Amino acid sequence: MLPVLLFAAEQPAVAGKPVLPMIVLGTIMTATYVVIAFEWLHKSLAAMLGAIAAVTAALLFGVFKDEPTHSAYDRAVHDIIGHDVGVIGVLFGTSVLVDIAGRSGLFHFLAVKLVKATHGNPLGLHLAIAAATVFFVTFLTITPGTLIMVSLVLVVTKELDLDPKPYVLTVAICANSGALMTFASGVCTLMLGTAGNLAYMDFFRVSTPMALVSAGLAFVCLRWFYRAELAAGGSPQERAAKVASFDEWALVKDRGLFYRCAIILAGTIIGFALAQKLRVHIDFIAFCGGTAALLFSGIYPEEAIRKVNWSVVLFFIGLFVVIGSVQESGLLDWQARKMIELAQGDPIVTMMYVAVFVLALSGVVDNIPVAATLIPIVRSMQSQGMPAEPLWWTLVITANLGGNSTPVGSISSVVALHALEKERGIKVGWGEFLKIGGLITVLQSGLVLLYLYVFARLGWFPARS
Amino acid sequence: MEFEEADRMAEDVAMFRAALHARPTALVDPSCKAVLVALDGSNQDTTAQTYAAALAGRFGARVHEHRGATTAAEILQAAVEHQVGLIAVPVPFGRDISELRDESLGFVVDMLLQEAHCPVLCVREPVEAVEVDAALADLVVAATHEDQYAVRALSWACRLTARGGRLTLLAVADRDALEEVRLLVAETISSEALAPAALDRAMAQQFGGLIAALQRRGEADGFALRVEFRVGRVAETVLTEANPRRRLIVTGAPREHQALAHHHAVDLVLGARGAVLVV
Repeated sequence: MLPVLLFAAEQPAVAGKPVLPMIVLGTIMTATYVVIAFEWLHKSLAAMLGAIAAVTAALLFGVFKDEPTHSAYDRAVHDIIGHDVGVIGVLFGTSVLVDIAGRSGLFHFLAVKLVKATHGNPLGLHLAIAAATVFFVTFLTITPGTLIMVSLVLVVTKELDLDPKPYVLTVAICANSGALMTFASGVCTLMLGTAGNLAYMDFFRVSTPMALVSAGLAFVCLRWFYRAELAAGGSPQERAAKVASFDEWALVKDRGLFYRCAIILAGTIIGFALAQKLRVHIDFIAFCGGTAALLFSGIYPEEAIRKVNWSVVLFFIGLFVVIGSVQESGLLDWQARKMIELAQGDPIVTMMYVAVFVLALSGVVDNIPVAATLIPIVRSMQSQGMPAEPLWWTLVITANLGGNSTPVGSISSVVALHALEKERGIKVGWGEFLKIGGLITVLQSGLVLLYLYVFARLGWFPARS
Repeated sequence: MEFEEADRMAEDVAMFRAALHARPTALVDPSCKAVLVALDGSNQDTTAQTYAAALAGRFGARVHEHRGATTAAEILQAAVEHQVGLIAVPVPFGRDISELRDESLGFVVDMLLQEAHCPVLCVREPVEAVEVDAALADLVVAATHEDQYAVRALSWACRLTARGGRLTLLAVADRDALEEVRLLVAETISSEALAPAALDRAMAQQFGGLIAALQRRGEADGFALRVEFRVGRVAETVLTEANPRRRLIVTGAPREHQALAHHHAVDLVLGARGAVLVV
């Protein structure tokens, strides 16, 4: 290690910045990602440790300079966190709202209604589960949406004596399509949407059609792959009677809360859609929605606030500080320049490179660090004259769908497969998942590349606000 | 999977199982042609009269006032004579509440709770008429199991709750009873099975059918319904919820004084600041 550092110290500056801090900070960032990917430490702890190491190194190497109004430390920590505080605001607001909506039984109620509408028909049930997964993740984000749908699948398939595996995998894979439906459908999506200043309504033009098409494609693949397991068994009348015995009202503990939640959720979504016209950011709307939920839910605020995913908030803060330090060292600008050079300055080729890179990497690494690292690179590319809109949308789509290729590529797969094994003793190995998940990822990747190419070629990407 | 997610999933699975196994439960439609209010000359008389008039109004029933009774037998005889569907009495009977407070119900009320053929409304602290109206718009029903007594208590509560009012079902897993069971079969029940979250899930399944029936009734009759699962001592838990605003408590109990549910009802009446309807 020492010879490398000595060698680096002797290297000429890159674009006016010394190489040694780039290498050290780049190593800290890579080490943080490796620790997160292999789960050697809890991801929040890994990010916080990475942040401490990055800030220490950045200050030692003088990456951040003292300014008349800001000390180097202010710039290394407070400015970076302040810059990304919008994401934390959205996370807080949506976490509170989603927790209270979950407790109201609103989504559980809708899920049971939908299942009853299928009368236990396996094809209808499979389709309903895929559609409900996309719908629930759209409004509840990926983890709560997946948890509700996997729970439902486990209970329904047991009652109907069906193999739960195809249904659970449908939830795991379709959830990633749901995460790119709207600005606030997934943590990764809202992080990219905030960073790229993408308008809520523009998601319906670019990302929602892709979400629906990719979910449809996944559904067809799963249907074909598990055609034997999805074949109907038993009598249709018996299945219909069993499904009819569900009573959705048994899920509603507080009808007032149930209706209030529906209103607040609808109001928040309308607020998201109108945010641009109201000249506020999404985090303000999310904050208002969360506060309204706290005010009108009748749930003790302390209890609801405790449910905010503080672990993700800490993870973000740590990650932002690590990436902010690396960015200041100039390493990410250098990477951006190299990518543009590799694409010979062609915006569409650059976009394709980014798409392939993110699709491949998201399968093995949590998509949040991947997206968080790409954000400053895209910003740098933009400052070097690259059109930014195609790159932001590329990140939104590929970071969410890339996770379908492996059982550890997305939180929905991790949750769904763990639940399947724990509740029903059915293990889906890497081999089996790679066959179906890999097939779906290959087809979805082809579709995504074609989709992005058409959008870029025809200039369909909406201009950012 | 992280612990919190595993816990949330167990909760979701329990909710769906509750929906699946919800036994169809039918609420009864209680009838009451007359209400008997027994007065003892104490400072609770006016409140007992106001309650009796308000409850009679819910059923379109007559109110009979009975003064000067000194025994439960006299009150019960008057109830039979007038064919009443509900008896309202100040508790303790024959003395001001400040004299006995929460030490004893007095012999008359003890006997009424064991012998009455109809529900008994036990009136505690004297309140203004407006507070009686408020109590009838915000009822608390205490139940430990989904049994015939819980169904009867809830049926009465639904009938009494004012349109636009609120009914709270407090389903309490009795800590004392659980402790006895745990001591009895300690080796076969894990402590996790008796953890509050696990008990919540068990109660969600047990009360599923009743909750569904209540929500439908609430939707039709225009009152709000909230269900809460608690673990604790029954009377203590319910009184903590009801006493600050002197809410009307409704509970179902067998007449046999040895029954645990009967003891819970007596404890509720002893500790209540508002009125308690023992069905």
